[in-house]
Amino acid sequence: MHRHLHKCRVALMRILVALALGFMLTGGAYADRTDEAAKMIETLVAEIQDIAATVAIDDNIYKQSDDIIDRYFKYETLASFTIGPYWRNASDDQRQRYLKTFRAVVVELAANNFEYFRSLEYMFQSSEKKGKNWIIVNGIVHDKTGKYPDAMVSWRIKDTPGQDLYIFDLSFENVSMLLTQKDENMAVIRKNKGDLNALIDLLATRSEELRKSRLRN
Amino acid sequence: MRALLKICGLGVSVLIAVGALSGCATAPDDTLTENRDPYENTNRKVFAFNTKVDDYVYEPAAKAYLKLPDRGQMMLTNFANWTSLPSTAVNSSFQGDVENAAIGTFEFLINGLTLGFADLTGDKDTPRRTNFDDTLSFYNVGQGSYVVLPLYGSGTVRSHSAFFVDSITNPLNFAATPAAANIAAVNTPVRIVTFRGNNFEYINELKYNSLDSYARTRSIYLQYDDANEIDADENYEDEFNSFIETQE
Repeated sequence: MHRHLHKCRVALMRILVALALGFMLTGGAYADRTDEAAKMIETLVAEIQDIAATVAIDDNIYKQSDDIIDRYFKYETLASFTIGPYWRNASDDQRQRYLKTFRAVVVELAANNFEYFRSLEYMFQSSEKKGKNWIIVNGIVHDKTGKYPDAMVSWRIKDTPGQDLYIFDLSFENVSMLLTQKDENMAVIRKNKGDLNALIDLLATRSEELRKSRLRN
Repeated sequence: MRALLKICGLGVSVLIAVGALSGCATAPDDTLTENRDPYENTNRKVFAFNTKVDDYVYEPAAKAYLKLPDRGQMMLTNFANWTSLPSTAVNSSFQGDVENAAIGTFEFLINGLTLGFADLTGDKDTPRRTNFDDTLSFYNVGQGSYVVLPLYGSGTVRSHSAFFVDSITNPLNFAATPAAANIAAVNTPVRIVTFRGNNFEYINELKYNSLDSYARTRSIYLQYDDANEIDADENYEDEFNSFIETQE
């Protein structure tokens, strides 16, 4: 009888240890990184505000914008998303040229808007896991001048276990910047009968216009 | 009143015309840039016309509005918001939100003491602004295709139809006083100018700094509109998830 009880206890202990190990492993693989994501956005906003407060609008701001975007986003992932199936069918040369012009436009847009960032305040609201791929960090952007009403902003962050978090998309009032850019790019390509080069040329022109506008200011 | 009905009549005529012409106006599939925009070729022409109207009418009017002192701009914005309150009250009732309907009615009556030029209640968040488009959404009526109407701009078949219904059912149109008739007549122009003025830089950014301002406007409109629909977020979620899974 005692022997039987001992066997039961050992079996129970084994089950409990197995459950605990399983929980630890699962917990490790799907660790809650929502706080880490929220912290990452706060750090990004602080960096942007530091640059906006100190740097004049010149070529330096282009480099700083490029550096920030490169650290928090993944250019190649964004670029491939914004032209959908055309990325898969593009030649290596087209991909490189698209990536280069896409990057130049994104950086110029950021660099041109640093003046505007000076008057903005970011207020964290929530951070939540969405499906297995994403963490959504929600906040409010407040314009200290009172010129613009408060806007709801959501950062979509890619969460892959064992890898650094990175920002995939940014939405203002439920309008995704990435989807908007994709829709626009796809429309340009389709209007030009599927020619990706037409979009690359337009982006090159656009980045040059933005560069001139930045240097004029 | 006459001006308002004229605009509504024009809108409905165009809506019917767009429907009737759908066979010949629909773009061939290989040139369609968005599945929900089967009338893209016609829409782009109307959009180009609206852009011209914006160049010569809306943008200069908005610039003039922005030159007004802050107090003047606030009064016009308050007026535009006030004239939409009857529609909010009626549609809140249709949606079963009696509290919102009551707040809308109360605010309309209180601010009516100043003809809507002052916001005496001072609460911008209540009542929740709603219209017949939201009511149709509430009863699961689909949005339909994306359609651009002359002067009025972007919308879906549902939102444009709802605009027409909102216009003719607005109680301001039934009030048999000259003041109410005048308010109804200036309502739409004031709403257009205050909207254009209050979003001046955003709209100019779209208009002047886009690779394809039509496609960009449509994308923003549809995403914003979808945010109020059931399950809309999940559609975009699928797009993000399927992309990221092909990357891994």
